[in-house]
Amino acid sequence: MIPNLLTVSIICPTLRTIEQKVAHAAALQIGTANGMLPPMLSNDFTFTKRLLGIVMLVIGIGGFIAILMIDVLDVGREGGIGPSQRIALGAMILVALIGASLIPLGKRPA
Amino acid sequence: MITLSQPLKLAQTALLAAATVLLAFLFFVYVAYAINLMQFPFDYDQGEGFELVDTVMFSQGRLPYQDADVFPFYASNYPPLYHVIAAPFVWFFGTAYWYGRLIGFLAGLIAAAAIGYAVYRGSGHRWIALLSALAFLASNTVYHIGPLFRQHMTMVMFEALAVVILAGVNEIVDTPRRRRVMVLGMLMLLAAGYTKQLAAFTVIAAFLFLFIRQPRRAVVWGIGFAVAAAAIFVWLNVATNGEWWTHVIAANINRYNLDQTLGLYRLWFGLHGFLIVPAVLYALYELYVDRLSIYTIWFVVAVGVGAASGQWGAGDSYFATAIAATCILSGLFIARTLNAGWRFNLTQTISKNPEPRTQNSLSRLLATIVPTLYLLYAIATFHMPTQGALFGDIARLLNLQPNTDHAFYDSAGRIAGGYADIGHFTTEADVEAGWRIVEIVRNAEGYAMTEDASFSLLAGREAIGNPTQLLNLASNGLFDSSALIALIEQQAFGVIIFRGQLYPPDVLQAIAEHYAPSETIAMNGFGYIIMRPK
Repeated sequence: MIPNLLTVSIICPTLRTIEQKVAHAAALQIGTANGMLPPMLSNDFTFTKRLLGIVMLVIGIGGFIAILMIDVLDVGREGGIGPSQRIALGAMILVALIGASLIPLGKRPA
Repeated sequence: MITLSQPLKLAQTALLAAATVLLAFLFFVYVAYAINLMQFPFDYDQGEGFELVDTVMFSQGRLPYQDADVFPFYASNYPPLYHVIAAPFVWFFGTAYWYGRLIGFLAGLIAAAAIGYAVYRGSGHRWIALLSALAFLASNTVYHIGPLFRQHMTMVMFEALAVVILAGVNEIVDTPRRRRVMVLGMLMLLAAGYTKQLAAFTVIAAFLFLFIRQPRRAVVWGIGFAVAAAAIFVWLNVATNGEWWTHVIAANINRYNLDQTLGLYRLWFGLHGFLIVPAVLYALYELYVDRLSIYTIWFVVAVGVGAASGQWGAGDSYFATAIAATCILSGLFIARTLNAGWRFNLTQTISKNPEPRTQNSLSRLLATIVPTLYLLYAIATFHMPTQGALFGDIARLLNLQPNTDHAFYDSAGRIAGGYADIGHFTTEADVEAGWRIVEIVRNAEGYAMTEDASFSLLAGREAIGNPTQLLNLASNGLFDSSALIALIEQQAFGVIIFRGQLYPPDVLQAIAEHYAPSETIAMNGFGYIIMRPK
């Protein structure tokens, strides 16, 4: 349950209660069974293009922020954002864009 | 299969035949190169001799993960499986290089066969399956490292076998059979990881694929796999008093050169671009239209691994796995084009508003010219010796001049740091020079320390010091050089032989203070400097 509701919490931060998040997850078809247990670990579950897209979008955005945070957390570093970081940031943007482009493809299996 | 008119069919067949001839010739060069290396009794690529030392140690039931601070200052930074496979040869044939090179060569052939099988299973196209396999062996990178006494190609073999085995596992309905296939796939992944650490990324790709298809299966099998891998890891660490961790993990963090990475990516694309582009198109097709296969995920992850090629000690070999995945995806792309197998159900505008004449004409045109990709690829990766009875004549016929330091033409040239400066054939003069160095080592008073282990091994002496691993350790603050430097200061070594001066800086400094070059012997393109006590 945690991964799906976490995903919902990230993409819909305005949802407050667990019930709202569970309902929204069901609406997004990214998975809850009987409103309580995730189907992700059921034998029939497979990733849809939409879910894969959401996961990639979250990874892309999260990775982008994490790479930027290296400079914030490691204050002793010099030289700002280096060439390797710039390439990694570009890769994260690419992951996020591909993820976003997959979301409209809906329930087709990934 | 698409129906072509007679002239188009003829053109298509001619292109396929031309590509086959060129790729088959490159395969012939590969076999000749392998035979040449198997007959060469010394180190060809730096580090081969230390792989042999590891193999000899395993054949004696010893582990090469030991304290490098003390005599003989030797340790290995590679996992054991390749050496374990080679160890029985030591029992029967003694200390020699040919069997390690034979294993690498056969591993390349098996990896190519797995690639061909993957394409055949996915397309039913025998000719393209054959070309995919030949394309893998024609790659400059695969050619370089295939027939070496190195574990890299054996790792690629296990990786390729693992992904081919696991590719269709989710579609197996019969549960006992599916479990058997899963076990086999997991064993191949485990074998790849314990052949070389880099295979960890293929493990990630395989489990990503399993997770996307059925998370439950991925989690359950992932736990089992992790337990098995960890058990071996812990056993090795306990058996070596923690030296396994020190040498295989901690010492393998090296300085990074981004320019080298970018240069190798450019080179990789320059050589393999004619297959990379169709591979990427096929990956996009699976991503947006069809289902993601393990090959696409493997391809993406393996291309990402190339980012590590800028590490000190790394090089173009880090792209070998990506090349294997490229050959599978491009083969599937080309076969699907020949089979008219593209289905764009998602693109409603195309399927709802077909223009049969235009589509058919386009399909026929594509099916006719798509084999050109293999032809262009063969030209882009072309390499061959420019001397010898047969190769010399062919080189003259093609007006090819050597563009390396040897009698060898390599389409890659030498434009990127980290690109292996090998591929040429060894000569009788190289062998004679090697035996001269062996004699020097054999006759030395006291110990002998050589940057290529072969001279010590063939002289019947103990291999002392593994320079690259000592440098790895020193770079990570894990090497206490005082005992080795004390021996150098005492001039306990009757001779020290340099090839690349790869020892840690303080060791090199001590050698420079207490030893002087007496002569330089050229062998295999390198100047071997014979250092004797001052």
